Amino acid sequence: MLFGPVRAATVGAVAALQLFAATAEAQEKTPIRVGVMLPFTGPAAATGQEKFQGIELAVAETGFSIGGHKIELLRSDDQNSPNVALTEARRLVENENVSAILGNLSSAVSIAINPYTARHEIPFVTSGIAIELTGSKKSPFTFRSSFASGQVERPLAYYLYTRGYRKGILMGSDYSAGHDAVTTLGGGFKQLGGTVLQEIFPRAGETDYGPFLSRVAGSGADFVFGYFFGGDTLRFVRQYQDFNVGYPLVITTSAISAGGVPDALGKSIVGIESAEVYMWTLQTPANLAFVKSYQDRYKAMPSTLSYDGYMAGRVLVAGAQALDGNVADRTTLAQAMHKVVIDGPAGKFRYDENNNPIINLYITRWEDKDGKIVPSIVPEFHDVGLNWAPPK
Amino acid sequence: VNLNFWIIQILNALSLGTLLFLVAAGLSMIFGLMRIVNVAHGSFYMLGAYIALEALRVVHNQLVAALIAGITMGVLGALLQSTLIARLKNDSLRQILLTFGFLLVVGDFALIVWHGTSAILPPPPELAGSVRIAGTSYPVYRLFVIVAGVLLAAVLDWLESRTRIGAMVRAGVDDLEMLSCMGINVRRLFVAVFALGTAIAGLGGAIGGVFLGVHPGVDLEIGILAFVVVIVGGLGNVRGTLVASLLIGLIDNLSKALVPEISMFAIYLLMVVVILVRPAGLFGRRSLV
Repeated sequence: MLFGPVRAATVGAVAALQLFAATAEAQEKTPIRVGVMLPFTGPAAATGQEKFQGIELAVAETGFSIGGHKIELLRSDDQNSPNVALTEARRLVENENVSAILGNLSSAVSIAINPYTARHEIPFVTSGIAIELTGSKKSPFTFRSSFASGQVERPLAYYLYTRGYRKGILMGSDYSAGHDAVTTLGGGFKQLGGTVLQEIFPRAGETDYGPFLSRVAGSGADFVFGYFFGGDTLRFVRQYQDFNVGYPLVITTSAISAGGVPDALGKSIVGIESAEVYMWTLQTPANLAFVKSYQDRYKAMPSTLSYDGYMAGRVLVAGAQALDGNVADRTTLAQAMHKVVIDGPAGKFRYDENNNPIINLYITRWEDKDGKIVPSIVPEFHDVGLNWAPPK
Repeated sequence: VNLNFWIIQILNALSLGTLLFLVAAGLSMIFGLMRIVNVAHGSFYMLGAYIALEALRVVHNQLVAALIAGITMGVLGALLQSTLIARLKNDSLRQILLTFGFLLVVGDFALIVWHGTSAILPPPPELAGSVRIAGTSYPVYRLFVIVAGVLLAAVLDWLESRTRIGAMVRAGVDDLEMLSCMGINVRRLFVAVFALGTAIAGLGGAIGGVFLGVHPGVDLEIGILAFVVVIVGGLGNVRGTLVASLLIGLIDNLSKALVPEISMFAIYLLMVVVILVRPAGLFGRRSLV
């Protein structure tokens, strides 16, 4: 009789386990596991968190469940480093069995893991702007949530020309994206009949723009274009205004609107124009709803990066919804994601044949309204893809 | 390229040069007297800028904020020297490791407190805007940086060549053992010089943060430039550091304005040439190696 209670307990436990397994089977289908790979530590952690919140919001709108399949978001810290990202991608795919990977802020990171996700047929939605991600290294499994290098510069060149500008000075950080932006903008501007007076490439992380700016002053330009990011934007804009160069300043996409730049620079950005793919001030029903649910959930205004994350999330959610949550076959999932058409906070969003988004573009002027710095949209361009051409 | 061009470029060179001096002066003193390779010197610059930014929210006065930044960094430097570095007497390798560790800890600390966002300090209202010089507008604040740098150089030079403390420091640079044999409290002198050096770096952060901004990684960027200045100028003397700062400001500016392609390594080229021709630096009395 010594073993009596133990045996009884064992029998009970086994029965309970069987019961539990049976109910679990009845109620729960295989969960959709999604890897969210962003810099969660290091200098880019704050921006990584902004993008994560956008992704999370898109998934939260489904109640974290599609067709009875629970959606699980797995946070993965890529530290903005290509090496770390590749290890993390392997972990997500081989150990965590994810159905898709969303994320990355840097093109270098996206380029590093793109061959891996393509080979393992894992849908991968990135904001890397490097053109090769949907160009020479494209894959049916690689999607972009933001915009490609050169995509916004063509309409921007057209806007500048129609605004009456004829002579421009183009400045860009001395790395591939800076050169791409300057070349595309300059090419488009010259095609329309404009002149590029100077192209200047200060190194990324330049501390003192003084020597360049004293060359720009007195050149007789109609406008100056700057492609700078992060701390470079702050220093460049501050020094540009300090030197009182005087020519209208046009700054590249997202550089002014992201990372708290308006707060840090205050009145220094008044009068600056920038090309933006999203503006939190858009008065469309879709955006008002987006801003409200973002504010309710995170007690903050959505940034360009939150929007970018939100669209990445929406692409995956819409793809999975088309399949009623049956994402086991990744090829069908990728096909469904390719076909999505989303009426998002910034307007219509759909993919071209290379999975690069065709989007709206908002030329924004930063204005001082009663002491508050607010963006106001000057003109907007619709259906901007990589082969955008000026109206005849 | 005309006279106006040269006037503006030389003003630019002076403003960057004097800012470099603000950071490198402290490093040079510490390096020269104590033989401490303070890799974390740029950390004091970065923390100084961040603290000035925070102080500004409370006091709304740039001068007071800059002084708070300087004093805080002086106290932190004194603590670092007296509690940690002083334990590793004459062991330069472990001192480098220690200050390197300090650099990493401070860098991560700044990330936790101020996140990854870049910030830029506002200029004092009196020094905002620009004036007409040589046909173009020139920022008033940069002229102020030049004046501040020259003033600081004058004060430090006076301290070095005309005061008892300065005499002790100069003696210490030449022969530390003899100095302590003469009955000088070398321990106290070390703490004082280290604190003065880090206080100036913190002040430099508050002043430089207005046009260079502050962001994660600025500690290394500025720290490396400060090292180049010290190597070119020679150890432990104010005049050498000043001349080297201005020279590097000038070369950096002219290379950017005339041949931007070489601007990334122009100043390092200068450093290599100086090390080859005058290993002790332009004004140094003793070789670095």
